[in-house]
Amino acid sequence: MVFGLSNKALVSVVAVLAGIKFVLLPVAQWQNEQLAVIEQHEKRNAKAERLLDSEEQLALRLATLDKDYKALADKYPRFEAPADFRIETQIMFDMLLQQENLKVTQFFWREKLDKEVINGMYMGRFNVDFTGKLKDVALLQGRLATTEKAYRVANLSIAVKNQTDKSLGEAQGTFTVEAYYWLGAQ
Amino acid sequence: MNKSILSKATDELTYLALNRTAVLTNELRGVRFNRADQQIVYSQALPASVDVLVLGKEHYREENRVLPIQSRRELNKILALECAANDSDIVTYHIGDYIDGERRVVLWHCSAQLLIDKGLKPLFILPETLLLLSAKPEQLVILEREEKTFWFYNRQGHYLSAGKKGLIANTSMFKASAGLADDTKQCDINADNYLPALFAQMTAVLSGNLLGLRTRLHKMEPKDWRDYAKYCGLSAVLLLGGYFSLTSLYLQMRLDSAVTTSAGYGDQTKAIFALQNQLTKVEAQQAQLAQVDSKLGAPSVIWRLLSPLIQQGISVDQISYLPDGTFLLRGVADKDTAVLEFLNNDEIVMEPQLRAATRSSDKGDAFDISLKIKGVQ
Repeated sequence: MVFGLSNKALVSVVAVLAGIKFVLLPVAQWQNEQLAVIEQHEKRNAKAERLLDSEEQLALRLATLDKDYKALADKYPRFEAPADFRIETQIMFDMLLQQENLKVTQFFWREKLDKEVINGMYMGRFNVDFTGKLKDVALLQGRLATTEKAYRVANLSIAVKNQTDKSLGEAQGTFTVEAYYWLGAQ
Repeated sequence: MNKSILSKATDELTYLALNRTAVLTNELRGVRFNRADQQIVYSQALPASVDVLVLGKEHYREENRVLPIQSRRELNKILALECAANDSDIVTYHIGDYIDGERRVVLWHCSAQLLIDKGLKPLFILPETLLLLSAKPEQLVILEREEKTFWFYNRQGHYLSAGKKGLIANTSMFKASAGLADDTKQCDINADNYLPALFAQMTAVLSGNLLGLRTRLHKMEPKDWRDYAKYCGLSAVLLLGGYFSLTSLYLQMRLDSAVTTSAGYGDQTKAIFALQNQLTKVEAQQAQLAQVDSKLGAPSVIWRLLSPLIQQGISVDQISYLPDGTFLLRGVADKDTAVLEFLNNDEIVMEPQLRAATRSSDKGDAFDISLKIKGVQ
């Protein structure tokens, strides 16, 4: 009898332990997993809410930045093809020197292909030899540094002669100029 | 008449207790509260289970004791042992206040056989003396019921009671035997006001003397531990099952809600992410373009430097600008140091220095100077 009771008690204990192991613990684990998934979703939702709240601010910032970028980009000319850029640049620069009473003696491009400096923007380098008065060279350089932003004098070499205390003298020199432009339709 | 909530609750408890109460005087009768008349009346039948028995004076013997024990708990233990030791009588007691180093205790002895004869096994016995003297304190209570007369009086915790018998034939005789003054305040109770007076303080008396009024007729029967184990196990299974079901349900609802909200945000956030990407792209483009735009060419400020030098009679033969931002000046001056001094004095000029040894001739010093302009590379 005693042996029977002990067996029953043992079976009950085993049943309780099995219940805990195979029912309670898996359910608790499943609940923990559910909770982790919920927390993940809730975090994502909170982030989405913050994003939605900042939508107006983002749009405003983008509009401002876009405007600034366009204003800066518009300082540089746009060409459909590199050949167009080269012809127009040569003519423009020739005219520029003529306007400053300087005579172009030689013009050549330093590289066969223009270099892409940033996405869509190219830079072509050319040398221009000229003669004229030194004061006109000074005026030309002043103009290039202030109004003609697309041209940048990277290198210059000017030989001066006939200089007196009343005249800056005659100049014969070379400019190496970097010219920037956008390629392709906007 | 306005009654407090506590008073109403006490009354309701009393009325509930009445359903399990019986009064044993000449005969055994049940009582009930008649809500229509708002009165306590005898019921026609006895309650199914009499848990509270009000015992008439004729069925018990009263004993007053004075004990020098202050602790009510200790006194309860002692009296409980004494009551349990008495097989023939059922003894109930009331412990009075502790005054002048002594405590007055009243014990009521009731024959166990009486209850057996009546087939009663109440949880509590309330002696008539205790109920009436609690309802009418500091008064001589004269009770006339069923053609009998009883006197009750509480003299500072010493309970005096007697029925009309032998020498105690009238109130004067009772007063004389109890040593009461002639002008002692008295209260007459008869069949009409007997029940209200009896039950007026029943709940208070019961709650104040719960241990003392127990009959100890209901013994704890040994229970099989397996029954408890079954109840506990079943309760635990039910509780855990309920808990896990509810929490799982709650979690599922919360997950559904979070997923639904998340799906709702999906399309809206796509547009914002696109906006953010666009912003990042424009920011990068802007930074790149700004870098290109900030690249400076040969500064025209060099002409501001040269002009005064030439006016001072210094001849400049060669001007060069190198990609690293260096200007080279070659020319002839009376003194090369004068040129260097002039350049040194100008705050936009940096690092002016002779590149080669100065050659002196009749025309002056042939100088070769390099310099940099502030803010250029």
